[in-house]
Amino acid sequence: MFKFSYNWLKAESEIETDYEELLHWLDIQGFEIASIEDYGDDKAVEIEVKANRPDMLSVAGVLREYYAGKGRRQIKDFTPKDVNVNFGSDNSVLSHRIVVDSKDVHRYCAAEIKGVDNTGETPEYIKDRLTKSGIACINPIVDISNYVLLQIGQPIHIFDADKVKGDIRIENVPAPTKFTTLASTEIELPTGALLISDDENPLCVAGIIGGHAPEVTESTKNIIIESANFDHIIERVTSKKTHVQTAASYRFERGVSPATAKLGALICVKMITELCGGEYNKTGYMHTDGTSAALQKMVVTRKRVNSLLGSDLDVPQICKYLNDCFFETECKDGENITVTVPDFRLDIDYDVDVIEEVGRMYGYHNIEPQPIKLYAPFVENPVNKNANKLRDIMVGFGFIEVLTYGFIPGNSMQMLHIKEDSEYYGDIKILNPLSNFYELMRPSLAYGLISTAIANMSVGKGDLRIFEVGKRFFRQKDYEDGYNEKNVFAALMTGVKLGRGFGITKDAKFSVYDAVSLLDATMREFNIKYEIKPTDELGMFEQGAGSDIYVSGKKIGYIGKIDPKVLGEFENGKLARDDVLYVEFCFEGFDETKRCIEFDSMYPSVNREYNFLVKNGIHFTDYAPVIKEASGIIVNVSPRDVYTGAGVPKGFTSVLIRIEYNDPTRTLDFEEIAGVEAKFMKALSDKYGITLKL
Amino acid sequence: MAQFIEEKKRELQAKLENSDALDKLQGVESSFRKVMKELFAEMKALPNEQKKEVGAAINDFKKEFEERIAAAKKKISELSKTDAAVDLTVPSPEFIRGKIHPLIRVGRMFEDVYKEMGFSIAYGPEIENDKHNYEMLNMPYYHPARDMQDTFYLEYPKVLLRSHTSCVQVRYMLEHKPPFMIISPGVVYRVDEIDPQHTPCFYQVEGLVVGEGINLANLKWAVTESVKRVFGPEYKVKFSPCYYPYTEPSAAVDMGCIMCGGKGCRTCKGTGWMRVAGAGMVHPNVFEAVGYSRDTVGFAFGWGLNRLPMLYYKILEMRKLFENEVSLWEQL
Ligand SMILES: [Zn+2]
Repeated sequence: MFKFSYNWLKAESEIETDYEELLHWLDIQGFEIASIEDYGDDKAVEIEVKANRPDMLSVAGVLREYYAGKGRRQIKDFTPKDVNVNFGSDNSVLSHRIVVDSKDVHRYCAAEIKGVDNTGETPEYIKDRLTKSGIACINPIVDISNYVLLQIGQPIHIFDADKVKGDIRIENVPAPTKFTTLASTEIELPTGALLISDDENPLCVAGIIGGHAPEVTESTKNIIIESANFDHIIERVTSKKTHVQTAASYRFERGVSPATAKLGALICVKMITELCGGEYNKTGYMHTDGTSAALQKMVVTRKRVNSLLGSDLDVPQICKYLNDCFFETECKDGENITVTVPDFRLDIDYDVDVIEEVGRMYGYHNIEPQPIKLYAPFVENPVNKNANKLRDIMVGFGFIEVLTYGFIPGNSMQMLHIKEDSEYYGDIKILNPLSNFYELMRPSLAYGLISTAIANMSVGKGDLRIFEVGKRFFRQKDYEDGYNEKNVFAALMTGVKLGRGFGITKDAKFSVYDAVSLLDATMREFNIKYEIKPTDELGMFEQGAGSDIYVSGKKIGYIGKIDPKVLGEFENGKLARDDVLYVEFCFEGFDETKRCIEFDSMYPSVNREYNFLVKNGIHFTDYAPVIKEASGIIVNVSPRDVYTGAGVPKGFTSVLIRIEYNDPTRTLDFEEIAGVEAKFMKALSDKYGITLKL
Repeated sequence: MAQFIEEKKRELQAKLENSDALDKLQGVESSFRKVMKELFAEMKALPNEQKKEVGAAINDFKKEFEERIAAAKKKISELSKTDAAVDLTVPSPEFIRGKIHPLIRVGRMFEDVYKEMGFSIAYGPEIENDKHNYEMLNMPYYHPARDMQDTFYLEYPKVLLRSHTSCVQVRYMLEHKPPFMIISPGVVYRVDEIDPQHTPCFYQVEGLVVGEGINLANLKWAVTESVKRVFGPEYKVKFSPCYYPYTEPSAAVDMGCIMCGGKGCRTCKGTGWMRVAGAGMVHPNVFEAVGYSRDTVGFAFGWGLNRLPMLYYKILEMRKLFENEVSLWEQL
């Protein structure tokens, strides 16, 4: 972000400026206008500046961009004409020796003024421009340093020379170091941070923030002006680690042109001597490591420009666009253009960067859309296909899809009664969560669906069928970074499934058998054989009402009735009065195998129903095969109802089973069926103690 | 004979008056036919001089009763019509379809459009590492653009929750050679406090097309075409210069505001445009990082999918998407 006074920009321009034209150009060049403050005769405009254009963080930069749009290829020279400081490499010309001992210092310009009077008022025009840019006014010298920062984008630091003891030394700290800032907060500098110290005290964190020791106040008499260029990487790392971001650090971490270091010092000298008096030292010190001594040159071809943009520009057009935004061009063969990059464009590293400049100057709106002419083979994504198939199946069953966050409360495992030694226990935590409510990467979708159900109950919606398709996360030592995740499907149902009315005499509510039905019907759609293995390992299900789901011997999920005690752990959980049924499974690897339709027999089937008395704990999937084994004419064994209560002894369940008898070659006679009945009843009785309920 | 006729008349009349339903009336009709048969038979047995008179009486009888029966029939059928009529404006709650989440619905519209254009769909993990999420996308550890995507970490600084699905594209490039056209839809995470317009996770659909001859004009086509196919041909799309470390040139994509039709409103902050995607030509540094030649060309785009269902279904608050008030989705 950069905020500036429009009148200031106007004052720096050598040509007539137009406010609307400026805003329009900034807008079409992608510098979004974040805010405009109207001061009547002036406007404070705040623009969004992306990380690649730090040159736009100054009035000079914005003016330059405005000129690019107008095709005027030069802005005014900000160098003060009547100040004469001779910057040399002798570091002992000032009242304090300056020792630069770091490769992260690309430039260090220091100038000195003696006998200033800092007790006066900062001139109105400076105050006005600083205030509109959102910078507080302190005292004339400090205000001038900020003024130069905004004007040309060069951060300035000024030391009270009388408060500095001995040499000014700039070096990387060899170990984490404590530092107290101007704002009296203590920060810890990471190893390698650039610290400026004198013989006794740390003075400031280079390019980021100053300390109290050399602070410029009203009584300051002698000053040393620092206008430097520090490496963007160490500035970024230090600012990030210490959580200190200032107008200076913001610019240094994005990049400041080394070319403005000397200019910044000169403007400061000129303004301070003019406004606060004093004598400047005709000699200054400048350290340089040679970075960006020469302007960068690169070759861009006409062909590459057009093939990347999908345009048909000729060399003169390309050169014009580049010249308009301050690049110099040279082309001798009508194809290869040698481009010289202006010093303030630190973002231009490759030919594609130059091509973007051509593109934006040409105007993206002038690029005509062209259909893609590329053949790329289509690759099926089975997880995507299965997820969408599951969604369609669930929609058919009247379920509503929900989306919940991938992170759940830190205490959700305790809420779901999942014990630490359970394979379903989740302990992957986010280091910087929004709060501990969003801390744990979910090992199951159960928390999300249960809390969604309860939230809906609390707005009066108690009959629910909801589902979610999403990821569950778990640790896996030998996998990538030690984490893995699977795409899973989960559904929850509770309350009335079939309401009273239209022939139904009593509300029918969801029971655990409906969850099994949902699982069964879904698996049928994928033509997948699955197994149910009861388990009490998963604490969230009621004792005896939970099972694991297996496919091809692999555990893929679980199904059951949520323990009311678990529901009680949720806020408003007591609203859940009916059974809450839950199923979750991983659907990765599901692959619908081709099926053939079996044509019906020409001879009629005989259907009979039997009411079995089954001891609890014996499962349909155990005894159904026993029935089938009795004879080849049994083609179907299906459960019709399950009942406990009056008339059924304790510990038993009455199960209504329908058996379909058929032989595709003949009509069955009742005696034969009676024989088969006797056979399986004996087997059932012998093996499982199952009898007919009388 | 006349007396006999009168007797039969009374009998039939009594029966007729008792007939309040169609089946009973059918009984009356058949007895009537029987009586007629009987009477005509009797008449035949009479001497010729009497035949004429009796015949006329029987015919009167016949005519009279035919009319009475017809009237009774009409009455009964009218009665039964009003009695048993169903109100066909009353649906029973028997057939109720479920609903797909609005985010997924719009996501699927985009997936379908891109599939029609020949794109494949690629997936990748949500728990990612710095290499795939940042470094290989031309964002080294010190890159200021990292500020744009405030990230959740599981292990600082290496393991994180992906802040965009571009890492899926990186993984895809590491495993495949061009040419290819893929989209990578999925959940992404960024540190954002929950408020009406912010949620800490949202959905993206990113696209990547790599192959000879691919240019910015193709990118404009793919993005513009998908907006027109999903939202309608009347929607305008605008490209303006932008910056992303992993694309160069880069573009920001705006579409005409759905709320106001481009006139300017609160949702679009008066501009008439809404930012919906970022795009650009893939940066040569990214190609180099995944082991391709720097001369490879391709484009990438990324839709922030949360905004689109908001626009499509005029959902005013983004966080509603994750609150799952079932009665809202039922309206879909
Ligand atoms: Zn609008």
